[in-house]
Parts: sequence; C-alpha cells; structure tokens
Amino acid sequence: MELEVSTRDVGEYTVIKLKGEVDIYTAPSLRETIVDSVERGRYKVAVDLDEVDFLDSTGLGVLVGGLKRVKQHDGEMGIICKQENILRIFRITGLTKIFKMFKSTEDLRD
Amino acid sequence: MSPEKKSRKMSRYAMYPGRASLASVREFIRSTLEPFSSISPHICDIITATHEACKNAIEHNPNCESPVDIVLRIHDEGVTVEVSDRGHGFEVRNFIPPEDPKPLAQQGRGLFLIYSLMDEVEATSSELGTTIRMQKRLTIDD
Repeated sequence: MELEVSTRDVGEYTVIKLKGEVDIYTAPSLRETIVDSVERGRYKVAVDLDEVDFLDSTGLGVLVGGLKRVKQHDGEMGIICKQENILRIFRITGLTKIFKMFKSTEDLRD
Repeated sequence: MSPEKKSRKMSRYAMYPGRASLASVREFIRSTLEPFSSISPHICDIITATHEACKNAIEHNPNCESPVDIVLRIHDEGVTVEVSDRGHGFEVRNFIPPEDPKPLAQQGRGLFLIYSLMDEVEATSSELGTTIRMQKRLTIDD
C-alpha cells in the first residue's frame, strides 16, 4: 500500500495528513513534506495519523527529524491520533513525551 | 525458546527485497493470524516486530539477492516467528535488549520495538546468515 500525503493550514499549524502505511519505502514522502512546510516558513506542524494503518521505526525517525527541524526555528510539531495501535508505538518508545499529542484537528485551535 | 514446540499451524513466506516486500510480509502475518480470535488482539505487535526484523535484514544486507525467509508457527505456548536471511551475519552479542532510545535519536528504535513487543527474542548468526526468533506467549484457545 502506498502513502497518500496532503497538507492544509489550520490556524497557526500546517496539518500533514497521512493515509496508508508509513515504512522505510514510503517515509521519504513524509520527510519531503515536512521539509517543504519548514521551507515555506511554517514552523508549527501537526501530522495527522488517524488514517495510518501502520507506522514503523523509520517513520518514527522521520517524525523526530521533523521535530528537530521545526525546533531550530522555535516551532512545534504535534501528532494527531486517536488510534490505539499507533499511540501504543509512541508510548513504548517514549515519544509521547516529546511530541504534542492531539486527539483531533479541532484541538489545534485550543 | 525451542523451535520444536508442537505446531498447530505453520506457514512460510519468502520475501524478495523490493518496494512492496515489507507490505507483503505484513499482509502474510495478518492473514495467517486473523482467523485465531485469541491472537487477534496481539496481531499488531507481531506484525510490527516481524516487520522490524525483516527491515533489519534488508538494511544490513542491501546487496543480498537471496530471499528473507519468514516462518510463522502457532503452537500451544503462543506464536513464534523466525526471520532468516542469507547475508554476511553479525556479532549476536550486539543484538541485545537496547536501553530506552534517546528521545531525539532518529534511529535505533527498531530493535527496541522488537524486544518491547515480543516476550522472547533470540538471534543466531554465522557467515551463512542470521536468524531472529521471536515469541509472543499466548494462550491459544481456538
């Protein structure tokens, strides 16, 4: 399965919505999208994982790389996700402590 | 962890490295385990651990043309997955449970996930290749 990547701006955040599976083969398109957002001056980025069926360690690494990139500009990176299977991977690897975690896009406006 | 446990079911899959290879492995694990309702809540853990082991095999042997063999066994003590490559092998003493990954590290979470999601993990390696054997302990009652 391929990965569909789309972006839209929600308030201060650029939301990168993913649909499909994030693995060693598809993660580069996520990396490119994060880089593009930063290059156009959008330093608050939220990645919506609610329609992601699978996320591997390469995908986690790309998200951490994105976090470091936006932090260089005093930005933020959030994760939007309600799916327990994906949240479990974040909890196990301790990443819930370094990303801002949101349940929905609406929460970005709070 | 003995590979000789009495199997209720055994399935094999030969993964040839390529863009769709890891997705095919994940589907193989899912379709084999889904009929067992007592395994169902744990399928995502087993898929992720198997995926990470296969990904390691591809990353560490990028020019290896031989397939990576995956053997999936459902037995009385749970589910065992063996991932075997025919690469150049590695020092198994390096295949140890990692400490918690550094929060901002961009690599090193694959092995951590394997050890976190499975109950037993073993590696054997020689110049003929490497086998990672992982077990999820479960009571299989269907």
